Amino acid sequence: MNQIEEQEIISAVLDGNVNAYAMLIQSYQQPIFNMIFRMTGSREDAADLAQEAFIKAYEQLYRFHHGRRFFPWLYTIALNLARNFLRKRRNDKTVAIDDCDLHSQSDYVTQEEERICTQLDTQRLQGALSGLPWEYREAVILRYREELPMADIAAALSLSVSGAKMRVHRGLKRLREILESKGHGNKNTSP
Amino acid sequence: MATKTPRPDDIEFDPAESEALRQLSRQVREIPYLAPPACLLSGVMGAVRARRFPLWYRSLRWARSPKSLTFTPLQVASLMSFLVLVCFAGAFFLLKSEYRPDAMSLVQGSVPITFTLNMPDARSVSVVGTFNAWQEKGYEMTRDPAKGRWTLILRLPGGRYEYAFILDGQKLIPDPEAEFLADDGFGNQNAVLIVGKYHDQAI
Repeated sequence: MNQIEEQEIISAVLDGNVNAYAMLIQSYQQPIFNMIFRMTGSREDAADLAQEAFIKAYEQLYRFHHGRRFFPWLYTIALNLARNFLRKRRNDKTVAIDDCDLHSQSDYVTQEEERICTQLDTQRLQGALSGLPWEYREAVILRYREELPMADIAAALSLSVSGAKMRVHRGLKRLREILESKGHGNKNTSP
Repeated sequence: MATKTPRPDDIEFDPAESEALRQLSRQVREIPYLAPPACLLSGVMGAVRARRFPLWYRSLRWARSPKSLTFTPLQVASLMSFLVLVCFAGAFFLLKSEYRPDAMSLVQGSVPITFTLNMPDARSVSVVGTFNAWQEKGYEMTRDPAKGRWTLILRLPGGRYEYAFILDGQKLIPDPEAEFLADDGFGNQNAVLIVGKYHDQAI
């Protein structure tokens, strides 16, 4: 979805076309859900928090600055929700369970897990990513998985552009160090 | 594995570790995502359908958006007829309620003016002029029994006025003591009064 289409959808939603919001959800639910999953390690929590993030973004959409990208803004909302959730969970050790039918996803998830397990390098990489502090992990993911420009990463993580560059660079180097420390680095690999 | 063209804001890696980091970044790009549960979309849409943006924002948005208006020639004709009727009715009432300032309304003026007329034999004297639309009611002068002079004090805004006295409700005479007189266009003369802003005046 390009920025013009995105702005048209947002305008339609603001004009009262609630159904247009579904297009934004469909476009961004996967990266948002996965980001929260990386943060919480729980699909149920990720589903709960992703839903809450989209609802909160809708409620605040009238404050969204026209002309900016929607995804970094949404990402910031979701990231803050996930961080608050983790802070709260550390305090009271309770976990919310979504009442939606997650079992309908279980088959797919199993297949997905099986697929991931067959790709050992990817699994190791994901393990190393989970060992990164979230600030570095999300910077790396936004840059290389979501392929966002530095300005958008900076907006999503509430950093300056130079700060975002630094975060990505250090994150990638740390990721490499983790992989090397586990003996799975690609130091000597060739492209 | 496909390689991408570097973007303007790509990070410059240290040459010693450049290739390893580039390869690592390509591996990150290939990380598979879990599919979000189907209930996410339906759950969000179910929740947002029950929510509305603040009333002030919806009103502002509505006011800013262009609107199209559809009407028939008959509707336009009806509207125009109604507007013409309203205009005529307004003009009629304005003309009917002719402006008649009385002594009280003139009290709001700025300069006190004392009208005097030495006419001991008159039974009644009123003063009329452009300041009261030549209406004598409410502008009756008072007679000083000792001197036989008729007087009336009015407060008038600054300006030029023409006036005259009505004796016994019938006879119209200009002020015999006025310094200036002006023809009234009907063969008679009116006294002319120039009222300044800062001086009490006696006529």
